[in-house]
Amino acid sequence: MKNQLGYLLLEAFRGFRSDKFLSVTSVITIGICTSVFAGLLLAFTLVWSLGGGGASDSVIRVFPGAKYESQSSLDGLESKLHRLQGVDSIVFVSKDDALEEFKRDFGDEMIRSLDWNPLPHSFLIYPAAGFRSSAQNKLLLDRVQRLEEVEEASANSLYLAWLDKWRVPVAGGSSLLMLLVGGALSLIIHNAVKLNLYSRRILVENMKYCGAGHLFILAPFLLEGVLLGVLGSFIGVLSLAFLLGLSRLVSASIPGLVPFWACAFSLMGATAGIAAIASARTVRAFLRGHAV
Amino acid sequence: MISFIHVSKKYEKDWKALQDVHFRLDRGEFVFLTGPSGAGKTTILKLIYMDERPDIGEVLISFNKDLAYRSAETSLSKIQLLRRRLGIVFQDFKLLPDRNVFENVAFALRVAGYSSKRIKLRVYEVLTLTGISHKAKNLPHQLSGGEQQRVSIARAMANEPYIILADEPTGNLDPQTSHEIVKIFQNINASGTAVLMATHDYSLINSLPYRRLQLNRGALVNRDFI
Repeated sequence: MKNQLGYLLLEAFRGFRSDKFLSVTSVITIGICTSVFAGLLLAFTLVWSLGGGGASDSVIRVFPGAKYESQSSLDGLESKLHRLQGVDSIVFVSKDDALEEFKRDFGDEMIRSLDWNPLPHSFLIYPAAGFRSSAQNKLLLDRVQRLEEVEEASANSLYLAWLDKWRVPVAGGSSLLMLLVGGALSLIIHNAVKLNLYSRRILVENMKYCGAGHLFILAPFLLEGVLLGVLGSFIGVLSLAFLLGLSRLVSASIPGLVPFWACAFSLMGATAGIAAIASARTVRAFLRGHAV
Repeated sequence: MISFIHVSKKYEKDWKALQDVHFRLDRGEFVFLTGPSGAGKTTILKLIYMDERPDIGEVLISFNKDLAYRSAETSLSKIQLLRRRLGIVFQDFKLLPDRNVFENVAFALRVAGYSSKRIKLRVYEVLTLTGISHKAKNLPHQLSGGEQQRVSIARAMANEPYIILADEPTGNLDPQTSHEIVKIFQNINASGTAVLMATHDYSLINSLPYRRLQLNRGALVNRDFI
């Protein structure tokens, strides 16, 4: 058994080497396909993790009324906010913190002329995962606004609505395109294995007349298809790394949103799976057609 | 060992490859299958290694009490086992061009799952039997036609088959080489393996004292004895 397995692996590599031009061309074509696939996977993952808002996109800022600025009132408000459904965490931003933040964002020239701090205390509410979509976020915002201690509460509603609007079309579109690219990938591997089968049909005939089982005949070609797929997917993984690097130039938070290794392994796994299915189907069709 | 029971085979509407063919081949026999091109010689061989099935009649192959194959009932997995007990030799040798003589012969044993050590021993045994062991490392294109056919016979012998089926094995060879090849088949037969050799080389057939099955347009026209 071990002997046969080693032999089948050798046979798969022999097939790969037997027509180097075809093999290299196939790997490059598969690489181009997996690069497109990687781009779409990146778009899908990005939109999905941004869609409904990331934790920072869906944050709600709460300003207490002027008569509730005492420490005990602020503590009371914080505990009320904690009790609201959909609240994940709350950060208190004191007047001093707000002033520091203001100075950091806009410089201190505007505030220097004042001898007092005009900025109010506030709370930042980070909604739980299920309350980051536009609709849920609005619901939470309404609940917050109904509290009597709250003078004003605001959220990034327009941005969340925009994300919500594009989430499904972009994710759906990229999924559909991924399916199409997967289909194209399957055809490329089918074609490469088929050409190899025809150029090595004497090997298949020999296997057949020596009494080889279907699995024995199928295995080297299946392994060869998977080998082509995996080698091609390395190009896709490199493209994924490049695209993530590029997206870092646009926003520093994007690379963190997209887990590189999970995407890379998904890409390689999907390509190997598609390759295995395409090769197996091609060899089985060939064996049926040649009454083996 | 092999019985054809009123076997008929049609490929197309009006082309009957075999018509009511009825004969028996016993263990250890050497039989010539003769007839002009298109007479049905290859079809008979294909029916034995079950690449084809008869339309009418039945082919029975029985190596011993527990090992019998009926054309009507044999499944694909059993056909694979049957083929491991047959040795098939073709006119065009069907050697793998990208591997040497040793690897070509070892191939049949790898399919059957032999260990590397056993493969090595058996390959050199059959290469010696067919007189080609000194070219074990040569590639097929470095061999003459006769030498390639010796390799092909060695490959057929590797699995210690009950019978060798040879389809025009001397068709591409000169008379001198043809006689050498037939001599190898005689040696194989002398060791107890049956040989069924399809050929239309009548000078060869007439020089040897073996039973012949004469086919013409798919029908057996002259049987020395059934």
